[in-house]
Amino acid sequence: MNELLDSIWEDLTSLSSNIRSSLIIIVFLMIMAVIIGNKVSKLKPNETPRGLAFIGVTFVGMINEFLKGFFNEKWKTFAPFLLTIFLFVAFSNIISLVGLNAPFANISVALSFSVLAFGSIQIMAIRQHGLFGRIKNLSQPAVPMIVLNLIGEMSTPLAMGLRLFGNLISGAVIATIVYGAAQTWYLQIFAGAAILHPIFDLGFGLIQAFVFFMLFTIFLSMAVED
Amino acid sequence: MEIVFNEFFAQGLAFLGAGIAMIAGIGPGVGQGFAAGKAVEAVGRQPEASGKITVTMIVGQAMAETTGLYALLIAFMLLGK
Repeated sequence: MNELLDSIWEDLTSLSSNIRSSLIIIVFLMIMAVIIGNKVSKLKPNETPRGLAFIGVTFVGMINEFLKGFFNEKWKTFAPFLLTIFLFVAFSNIISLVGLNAPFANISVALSFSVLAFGSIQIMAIRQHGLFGRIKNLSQPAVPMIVLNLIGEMSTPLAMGLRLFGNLISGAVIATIVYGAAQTWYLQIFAGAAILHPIFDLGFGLIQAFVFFMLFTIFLSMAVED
Repeated sequence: MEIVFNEFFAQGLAFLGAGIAMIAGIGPGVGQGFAAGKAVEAVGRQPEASGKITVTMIVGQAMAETTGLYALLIAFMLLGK
């Protein structure tokens, strides 16, 4: 038993720091989801939610309203999935505020999100139109165009993942350079608190999370409802 | 002066290539500025739609940024040589 625990601990500590912080975010989001879910399920219909439950209810309502503008009827199927993606990307982009490394500064995490986007879009499209209908859609103007259409289908998720990776790694590199160039501790604190973290973590990180969520929504709605 | 083609020469050329690759940063700068200018025009014409215009502008700018990010990735790859 002790050896098993030791080997698990060894595996966890030998992970890359980006993947470790992504595991931390996953555990945090799971705990928060259970807490908020408990609070919301205990609410009475005529009661106004307060505190965490209020934030959760308002946020889910906002995402639902946003998704209704893109999907005609199936928004309820995809809303939980897209909300989860958005929350994970948003939290992982602002996690360097608490001193952990951003998960998307690692290319394997970013490209795994590309694979996720590609797989979910294709599976949902095939479920919607059937395999032959999908092939027919892809060879739309003429049959030889299927090669170009397949490349287009693959390049959009790849661009989504690489965009996240590029933004996060550029922020990390610029932060490292500025921290190295600011020699004294008060300059470092000023640069970090006033310039680096508000712009690169809060500003660009949240914008990129929203852009990823929006592009995912647009491509999914295009694949599901032609 | 005689030029020696050793590993320092190759590394210097890789750094030079990284600098040249970042010329691509001009494109996203021009594109994002153009988008922001057009968004300001649109808000001036229709101030009540400013929320939607801002969201569309930010998403469009993030899309335009992609080519610059590709150049940045190439530059990082060359710096690691």
